[in-house]
Formats: sequence, structure tokens, C-alpha cells
Amino acid sequence: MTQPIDAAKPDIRPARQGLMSRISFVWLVPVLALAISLGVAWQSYSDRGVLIQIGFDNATGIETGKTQLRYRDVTVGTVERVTFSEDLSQVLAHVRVENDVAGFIDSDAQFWVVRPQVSVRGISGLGTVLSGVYINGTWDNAVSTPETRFTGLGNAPLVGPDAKGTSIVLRARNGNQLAAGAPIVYKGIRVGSIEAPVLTPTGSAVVTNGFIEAPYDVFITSATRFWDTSGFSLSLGAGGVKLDVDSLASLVEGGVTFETLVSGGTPVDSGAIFPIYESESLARNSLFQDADADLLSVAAEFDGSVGGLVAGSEVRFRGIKVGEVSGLTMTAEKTGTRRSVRLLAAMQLRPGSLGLGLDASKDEALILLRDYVAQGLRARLTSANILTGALIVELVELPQEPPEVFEANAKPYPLIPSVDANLSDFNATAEGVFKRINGLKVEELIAAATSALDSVTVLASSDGTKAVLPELTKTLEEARLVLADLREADAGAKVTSALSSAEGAAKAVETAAARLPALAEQLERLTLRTETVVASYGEQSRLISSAMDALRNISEAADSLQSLARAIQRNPNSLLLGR
Amino acid sequence: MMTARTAGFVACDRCGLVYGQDSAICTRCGSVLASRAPLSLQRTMAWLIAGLIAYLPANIYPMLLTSTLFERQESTIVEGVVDLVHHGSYGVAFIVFFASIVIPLGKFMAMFYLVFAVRRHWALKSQQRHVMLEIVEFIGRWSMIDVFVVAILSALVQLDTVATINPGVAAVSFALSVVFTMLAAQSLDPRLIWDEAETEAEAEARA
Repeated sequence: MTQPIDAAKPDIRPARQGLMSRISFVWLVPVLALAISLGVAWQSYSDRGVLIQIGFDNATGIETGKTQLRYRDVTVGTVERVTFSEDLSQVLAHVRVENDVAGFIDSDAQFWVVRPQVSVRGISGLGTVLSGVYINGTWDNAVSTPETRFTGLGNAPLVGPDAKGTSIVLRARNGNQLAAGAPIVYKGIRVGSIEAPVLTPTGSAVVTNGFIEAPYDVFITSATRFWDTSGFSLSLGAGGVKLDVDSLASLVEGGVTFETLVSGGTPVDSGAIFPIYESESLARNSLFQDADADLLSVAAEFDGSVGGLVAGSEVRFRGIKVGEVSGLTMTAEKTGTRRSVRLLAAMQLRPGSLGLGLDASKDEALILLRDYVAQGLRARLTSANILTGALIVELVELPQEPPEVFEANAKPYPLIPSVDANLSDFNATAEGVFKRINGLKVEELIAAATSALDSVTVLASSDGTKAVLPELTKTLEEARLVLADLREADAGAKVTSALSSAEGAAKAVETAAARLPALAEQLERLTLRTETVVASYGEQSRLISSAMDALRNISEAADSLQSLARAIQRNPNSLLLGR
Repeated sequence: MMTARTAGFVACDRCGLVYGQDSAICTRCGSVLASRAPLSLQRTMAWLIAGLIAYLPANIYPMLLTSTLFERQESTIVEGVVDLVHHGSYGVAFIVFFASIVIPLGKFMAMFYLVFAVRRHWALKSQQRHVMLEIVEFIGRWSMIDVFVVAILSALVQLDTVATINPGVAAVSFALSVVFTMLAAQSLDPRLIWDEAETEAEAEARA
């Protein structure tokens, strides 16, 4: 082949040799891309978190890829799949949890589905109406062996595992006044809440978990008593009518309150069981019925009716409550041929209340009672409330009574001798009142009043009274005549001239008075000026303060002058007439 | 048939001056002279593979991150197409499907075919091959339509909590993939296709 055209002058260089010339540098791009892709893939694989399974009864609202797992309202995972458990008993939500929290999700983690809820305390989870439900999780902030299989809760738990406080178990006779989330209130402050009540396995009672939040759980001791404050309670007792209404919320959803009624209780551990009494009085009574409480049981026998005395009635000593009646029993007795029935009132006294100090023992109290009885201490029924007829037991000192012995070894309880009920006193009193009312001479009074009225009538209709009137008429007539005489004697003109001169005087006074406001004003100006001068001197010195006093007097004088002037202007005659 | 190569010439790609075959550098403009683009097939392959690698995450990862008032949605390219079909926007769905799936895949297949055909001396009409390359080169830029859509949407829809659209990982890798395949199409020296035709023709002539 020929070269028909002249080519440009060649620039000849040796061909490049080596590996680099055989392989294009562009290969770096796919290698780099591959490296990056693999790196990203590895990272997303290792970052994708831990898969945990949460079992629920149903999957209402749970959506694959959308439903989130939240911890303290921060999304920490997403539901990847929803499957059934092996036996179809549960729905398993497979949740991919972020790595940094997965370590905390251990056996104490709790999960529940948050749905919109309307309760007495308000509406919660409203946001989930639009956004769909989410799974809320709670766990403590300690890393321990992670778990992957959990059972979701039906309802939000009362407290998270990291909440500080004491959980207790409350037992109630029935649960119809307790709702999940009902508050536990202490002196009106909400200090905790209760979970949904459940029946005990035997069905004999209802138990519910309660939780007392941290700073307040110190108030719970073994001597604490809980009672139900649901709704309102109306009681008619020795203290009269008592109506308790707690907050409206507790009226609807129930509530529990507590009080540590006696000192000396020991702190309780989590899980301690407390009964819920139906009312405050029952809770208080329970203290006296407690076998373990350091109470002294005594008894007293009464004759006659004890209607009005019930378990829980007070036992008073010199007007102070020292215990309560714990029960009433009847014992039939046979003295000779005559049968009689005596009523035994068992009482429980608090040794501490008898004046022996808080840590008094029962024995000390027994000795004290023995000495008292020797001095004439007796148990006596007394009426506590006229309206209700409630009775209380009163320990009275009656030294004039024949001496009796305190039967410390009597069965079932040491026996305090009794005296006849003091009811007669009351009856006597009432009778006295009625007697006095009866004694009021109402009829005589009425008779007297009637007779007084009668006398008035008689007086009015008597001849003397009638005679007075014409005389009066006559006197008036005479007065008229005198006046007419006066007129005729030109007394009138004289009086007129006297009046006119008086008027002239009043005019003079008026013109004088017209100048009064100016004077008052001047005075006031002076006062003001002086005041500013004085103020510029400062207010400390005594001279100044007395000067201020003087000024105040002057300004008061000016005020009176002004009011005088005003009065004169309005009614000049007042100067003359003094009104 | 005479080509510059058979005539022992080499033309400068930049200024068009013709040299003899031994020349290495253009004396006029200083660019490197080569009868055929050096390592053309290798470079094409490298760009193609890079494009393929970038194309995988582009389809796995979400393209659009849509946050509306109540929910947050992440959709990949295919999911986006499916969504569009569900909403009845068949036309838009078709365009997106065509631009984001059909064209890139077609480009990959065409380019791989061309590279292998040149390398393995497969028989096909050179004319067809060349048209194929031209189509690939022309159509390459249209693949970017999805990326543009994402770019425009995420620039326009930024209404804070009400609605926000953000580009996902796939947007970047898809753009990279398109860029890589365009580079691949450019690196393939079309003269290699004709070289094949020439040798075939010579072989036929000899036979």
C-alpha cells in the first residue's frame, strides 16, 4: 500500500510499558464503588438492631413497617413483621430495636400498645387517633442480659421498672369501687395509684397492686391503714351525721387513702399486703381489733338494755377516748332461782392513752386499772348523742361507790366493775327540760296579756278618756284666739321688721363669707409653699416634724374655713339660727 | 475499503491533523495520538461495572422520604411506580418506570453486549451496533429524569411538619449510576465496532 498523502511530521516516542499501561485507571471507580457499597451494606447490616418479639392478644392497629416502638416517647424501633406464635395463642410483633437501647431491654422490660383512651382523668393517647397506635416500652436503665421474647401488657403498667417508690398489694372485699389508675391519696395529695383489681384465686377477695411514689412511701408503715374513699359516705354515729365526699374523680373511679394511725410501725418492703377498709372509721377500728396491736382487752358487764352500743363505740376516760368497744356478748346467769341476762361488752384499751406513755405495756396498764378500780373506777354507759341514742362506755371515778375488785383474771377478759347506766341522768335532764317547759305558765301569761289588752280597751272606752278630747279641742281654740289677738295688735309688722334687720345682718355676713374661700386658698398656698420648703430640709429633724404638724393643723383649719364658707354661702341664715 | 489505520495514518482526535502511524503526540495541539482509544474496552467495562454497583442501592434504598403530618413514608423507585399506578397516574407511572428501570437496564445490557461483541468478535451488523451505541449515548441523559423529579420535589415541598420531601440514598446512587453509564458509553471507541466489520469483511474477502 502506498502513501498517497504526506502525513504530518511524526513525533516518535517509545511505547509505554508495564502494568499501568495495560490496565485502565478507570477500574479504580468500580473498585471504589464496590468498596463503598459493601461498606454501606455492612454498616446498615450491623446497625439494623436487634429483633425482639412481643406477644400481644391481638394486633389491633399494629402495622408492619409503620408501628413504632417508643421509649419515653422516642422512637427506638419499628415493627418489621407480625406473625402468630407457634400455638396461635398470641400475635407476635417482631420489632427491630436500635442497637444502643437493645442492651437495656432485659427481663423487666414491659410493653403495651398505646391507643386512644377516655377515662375520668382525661383523654390519653389522642395523637394515636391520627398517627395510628404505637408500642410503648419501658425498662430500667441498667444493662443486663438482653432478652428477645416478651409478652405485651393489656394495659399501660402502673409504674415503669425504674420508677422509685414502694409497691404494695391491696386487698379489698369487692372491687366495684376500684378502677385501674384510681389514685391513692394521702392528706388530699395524690401519692400513687392502683392497678386494675383482680380476683384472688379463691375468689374470696379482690387484690390490686398499688404503687406509692418515692418521697411519700416513707409514710407507709406496718401501722398504716388504707380505706376506700370512693363516692361519698354518710354515717350517723356518736359524733352525729357525717358526710364525706372526696374529689369528684374518686367519686367516679374510686380512690384509696391511708393514714398511719399509731406510731411505732415498721417500714414495709415492696409487696406488703394491706387490706382496704370500707370506711375511715372501720380502718380506725381495725387498729383496736388487731391481735398484734398492743391493745389491752378488758370487759365490763352491764345490766339492762345496751341498745345504742355497738362494736366501735368509744370508751372514754374523763372525756378522752382511750379505746373502743370490740364486741358485745350476752351471758345468761342463774343466781339462785332467778335467771338473768348480763351483757358483756369487750373493750380494747390503748395503754398509751391511759397516761402511761406510748410504750406502756399491757401489764402496766392492768396494774394501773387495778389501782384505779380500788379508788372507785367504774364502767358506765353514757348517752353520746341525743338524736341517735348512741351509747358510749365511760370510765368514771366514783369514790363513794362501795369498793370492788378489779378481776384481772376473769374470762375472757379482765373485768372492770360497772355501775348502772347514766342514762337516767339524761332522761332526767330531758324530763327536766320538758318539766320546765310544762312549768312555763303559758296560759296565765296569755291570760295576763289578754287582760292587759282588755284594760287598754276599757281605758279607751272609759268616760274619762272621752272627756279629755273636748278639753284639748278647747285649748287649741284658745291658742287660736291668742294668735288672732297678736295679729290684731300689729305684732306681725314688728316681727317683720325684726326679721328684715336680721336679713341685713345675714347679707353682711354673706359678703364676709364670700371672702372666706380666698382666705382659705391663701392659707393653703402658704401651707404648700412651707411644705416644699420643709421637705427640702429633709424629714429627719424634730423641728421639721413639729413644723409639719403645725402645717397640718393650718391646712385643717383652712379646710374647716372652707367648709364654713360653703355652709354660709349655701345658707347664710344658719349663722343666726345656729342650724 | 480503506481506513486511516490501514492507510497507516493516525488523526489527532482534538485538532484533526493527520500523522503517520508511529506518531505519539500531536505536534500542533499536544494531545496524545492513538489510532484507537487506548484501553477503550477496559474503561468501558470499568464504568459499566461501577454503574451497575451504584444501580443496586438505587433500587434497594428509598428514593423519596415523604413526611406528612401523620406519617412518614419511604419509597423506592419500584414502590413509587406502584404507588403511582394505584393512584391512577398511569402516564407518569409509565414515564418513571421507563426512565428509571427500563432505560438503565437496557443501557447496561446494550453496553455489555457491545463490549463483549467487540472483544469476542461476535457477528452482528456493524451498522446496527453503531446505532445501538448512538441510542445509548443519546438516551443516557434521559435517565436522569427521576433524579430531577426528586431534586425538584425536595426543593419545592419543604412545608415543615405538614409535608416534607427529602431525597433518599437511592437518589444519589441512581444519579451516580447514570453518570457512570454515560461515561461508559463515551469511553467505548466506536471505531472498534467498525474494526470488527473490517476484519469480517477481510475474512469474507479472503474466503
